[in-house]
Amino acid sequence: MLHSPQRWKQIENLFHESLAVPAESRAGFLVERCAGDAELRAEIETLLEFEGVPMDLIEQPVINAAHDFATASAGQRISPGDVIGHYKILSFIGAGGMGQVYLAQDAMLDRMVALKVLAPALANDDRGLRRFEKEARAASALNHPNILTIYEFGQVNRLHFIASEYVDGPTLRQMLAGHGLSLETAIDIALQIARALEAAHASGIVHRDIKPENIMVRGDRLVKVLDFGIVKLIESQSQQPGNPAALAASVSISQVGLVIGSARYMSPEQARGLEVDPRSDIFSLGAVLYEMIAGKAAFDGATISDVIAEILKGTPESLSEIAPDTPAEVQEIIGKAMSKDRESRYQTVKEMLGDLQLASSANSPQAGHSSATGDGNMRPRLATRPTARNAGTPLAANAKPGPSGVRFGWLSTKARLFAISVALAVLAIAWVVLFLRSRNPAPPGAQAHSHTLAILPFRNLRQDPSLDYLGFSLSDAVITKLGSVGSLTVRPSSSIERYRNQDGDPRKVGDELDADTVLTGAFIRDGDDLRITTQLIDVKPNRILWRDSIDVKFDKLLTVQDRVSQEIVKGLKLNLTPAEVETLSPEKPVDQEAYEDYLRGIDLYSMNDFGAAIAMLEKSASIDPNYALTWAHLGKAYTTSATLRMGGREEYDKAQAAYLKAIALNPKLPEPRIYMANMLTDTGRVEQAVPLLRTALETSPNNAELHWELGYAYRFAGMLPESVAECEKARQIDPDVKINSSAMNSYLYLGEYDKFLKSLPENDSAFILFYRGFGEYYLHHTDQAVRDFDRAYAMEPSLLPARVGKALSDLSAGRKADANELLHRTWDEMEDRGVSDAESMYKVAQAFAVAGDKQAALHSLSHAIDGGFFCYSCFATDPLLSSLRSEPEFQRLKDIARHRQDEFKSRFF
Amino acid sequence: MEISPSSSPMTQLLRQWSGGDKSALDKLTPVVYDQLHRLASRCLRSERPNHSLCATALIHEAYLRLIDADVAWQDRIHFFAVSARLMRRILVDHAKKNGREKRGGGAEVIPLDEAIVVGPDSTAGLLELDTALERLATQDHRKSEIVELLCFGGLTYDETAAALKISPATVHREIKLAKAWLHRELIRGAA
Repeated sequence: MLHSPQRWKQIENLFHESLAVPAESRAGFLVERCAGDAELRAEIETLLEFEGVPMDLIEQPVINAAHDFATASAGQRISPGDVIGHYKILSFIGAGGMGQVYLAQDAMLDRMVALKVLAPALANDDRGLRRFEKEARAASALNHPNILTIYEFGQVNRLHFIASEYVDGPTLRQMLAGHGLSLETAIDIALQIARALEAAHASGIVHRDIKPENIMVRGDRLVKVLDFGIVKLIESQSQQPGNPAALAASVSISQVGLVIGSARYMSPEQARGLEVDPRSDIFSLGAVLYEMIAGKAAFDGATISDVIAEILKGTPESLSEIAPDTPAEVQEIIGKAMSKDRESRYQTVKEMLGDLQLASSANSPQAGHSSATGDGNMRPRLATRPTARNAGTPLAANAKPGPSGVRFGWLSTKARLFAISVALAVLAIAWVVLFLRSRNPAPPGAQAHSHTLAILPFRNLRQDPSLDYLGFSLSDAVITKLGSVGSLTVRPSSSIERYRNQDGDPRKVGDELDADTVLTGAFIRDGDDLRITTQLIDVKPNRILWRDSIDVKFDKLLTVQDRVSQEIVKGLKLNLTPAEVETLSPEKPVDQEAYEDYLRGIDLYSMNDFGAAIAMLEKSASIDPNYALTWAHLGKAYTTSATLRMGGREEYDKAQAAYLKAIALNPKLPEPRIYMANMLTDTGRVEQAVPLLRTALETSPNNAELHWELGYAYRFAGMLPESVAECEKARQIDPDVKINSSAMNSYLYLGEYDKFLKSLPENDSAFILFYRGFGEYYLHHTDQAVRDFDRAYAMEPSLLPARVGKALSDLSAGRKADANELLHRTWDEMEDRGVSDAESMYKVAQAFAVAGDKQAALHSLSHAIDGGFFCYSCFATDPLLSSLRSEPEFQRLKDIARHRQDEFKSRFF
Repeated sequence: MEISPSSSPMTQLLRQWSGGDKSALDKLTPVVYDQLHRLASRCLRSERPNHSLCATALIHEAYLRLIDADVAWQDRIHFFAVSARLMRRILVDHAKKNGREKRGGGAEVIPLDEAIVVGPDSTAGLLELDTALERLATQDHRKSEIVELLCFGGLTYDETAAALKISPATVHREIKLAKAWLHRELIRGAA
């Protein structure tokens, strides 16, 4: 109702007057002042009721909307390092019907969790949400080993999330990947799903969405069923059940792309929109089991309606035709479970479980044992029967259209328009990036020319040993800082170390490091003042591009790296992306003392004094715990110490905590990810290493070490061509990257011995001598190999590879007893320490195999695989293992490795 | 290092738009969207977001990035004011579009590759707020302007006062009634 201006003025005045009166006297005051004007009194009273009551919508409509923008564009806006409640996001795992799933760290309980952030469309329905929460709680109360444990159902700001147990393994969908599984595996998985359902049904919970996407299989074959009770929430939004079209239309758009996935496993009653009961889950389980054996879905179609029509009327292709080896009793189980009429199905999952168990014991070589649940440490039990039946199963011509084929095909025009309008937000961002770039147009040709820069250690001009540490660590800091600039390749600290105590001639350095520009610097301290002079040299014409002298107070050391980095960017006329600009912007202030200790710590590490480096970095972190690089380097120091100084497992744990801290503080920093990935790979967790590196490569695609580390991880997982590709890419970016490492071992495993030898650096360290000998050994250049092995062992008799080389040398000379003694002694030491990387165990296994000690070889090989070196590709062909090939145990180990390699492949490729 | 501080086309666009050139809005919209995204992710990232801090500081920052650094302070206030209207306009358009899509019904399915899921109610209440603000404008134009500047523009009280050429005390006084009135209006509308 609109008031006249006079009336409005009256209202306003009286409103403010009332506010000046104490709340308890207001009623009386208004009665008096309104003097019989009840309407006026009501107007003021109702306004006063709302006075000072905050309402988000009014206070911050922009923020409100912004939140929605963020949650609406879902995963793309939550990124590693973000904090949601007490969870720190580590990486994106995948998108599901309910929203996005992330790997996160629970900072309170210090454990990894899977954090599912609900799509806002679902979270907006309060009633549905409460119902869902109730069900989720009920499901979590089931506490069954085959049901994913839900830790928490929470809300921060407007984000609703579910924190659950993190399952390290593929989904059944990923395992299937277009082919069937072996019969034993299929039945084993079905059995475990049935056990989960049995427990849920006993508590009155129907899953409603059993499908391969909701089944996860852990490394030890333990099956976890996810997402209990979730579909109910989605169904609650469906207004008109009853016909397929209505169902399809009413499913929330957050179900995008997954609708068809769920539809394939719906029971007929579900497809009709009727009430469901436990027998619906039995149907879905039957359909999943069918698919595991047949390698294709029981009911499929190009659109949801087609799928639903198939479910209601169609008959799946007979298993005796697709997979003729399927025993009749298994076909019967599936047929009964998938009866269209629920009265003809198994009436309880317990009945089906019983039949599955019978089928399992009839088909399993270890009669009567299906894999037990709940034992996380149990050895993998693998299908030992050949799977030729499944491998050879031809897919029906119309089965499994590619994802885009399916999705685009069934989009209505309206939906397309919607998709386009929704995608505008994304395009807008792309537009902004172009826009920002266009504001700073690149001079022609500038972008095409990529600079390679070497930053030499700074020289200490006054003989002041207390400041020596600055020489290396300051240049290291600038190198780190510039590492994120895509148009610039910076030689890593490891390659400039050798110039530590010498005046490098820039031209020579440029030549040696294949760099076109070189930065040299020097510093001198006078009391509190520090003067740093730097010059940037273009080595080809040997021309100084830029020279600068920076005067800083000693306690502002941190600004040096910022300033130098920025001057380099200017001097080279680099064009930066907005992201790079952000990364290069000045650091948050770090406590000066902490920063000095950090620099000292780096310096100590580079001189291999790991104990002192740890102490210094720990001190730095205790003074200022918010500097990510301190934690990254501390983690690295712990890791190295654990490996080389027998610090053992606790130091790995400490390292991990330090890396996570660094990543949480600065998610974009590649260093902690590189170091952590290396540790994870070495300690048997290559599956965790890969996502860590891939995420980092998105922001730093030109980081040689990231590519190198990924190649290393791939090697452990047997992805040899991929491993070589990554390492070659790393070497392309930086020829010196990890020059003294186990280098291109993947070439060795691929049988490309010449390429392997070429990849080795030209130095005669014990480590490289061993590898050179190893390559020669494979090539049957035994004399040359023995010379190199013996030299390496003479130089460093405690170095593990050197010992393996010595053993091979002894064996070549017929000193079998010596070789065996050395190998057993080495193995015992490794077992005592318990910190060897699994590839080293593999090397010992190789030597045992050559020595003919099959038992020891198989023992160490099994440890290598358990420890995370499951490079099936090399076990299958490695000539050094030929003495083992006829052993049944070797076959078994090979199968385990192959299985893990396959799982890895389906998960990451 | 800084992005070239030379003449920013944003300033030009904002001038054109406030001068009545409708096509300028098409170019401004994506920039504002992007700022919204940034704003949002920064707010979500902080463990205990201080919303009012987010609103003022960040929106400010967003606009500061859009305009020339050498624009005079008075001009800046003017730009904030224009920006506030722009922000309101864009958010409301967005909400309207969502509403239409929702009413349009049908299988709202988009390819997974482009799975940007916009919740049907992602700007819940915004249309109602806009309508209420329109009504407030007919009753008391200055109050609606104050709300627009403070809430949509993230301006401070002082800046709002400067933009409207009134005293900060007046802003304080007027916003009280404006908020209470809007709040009541929204609650009544919902009932």
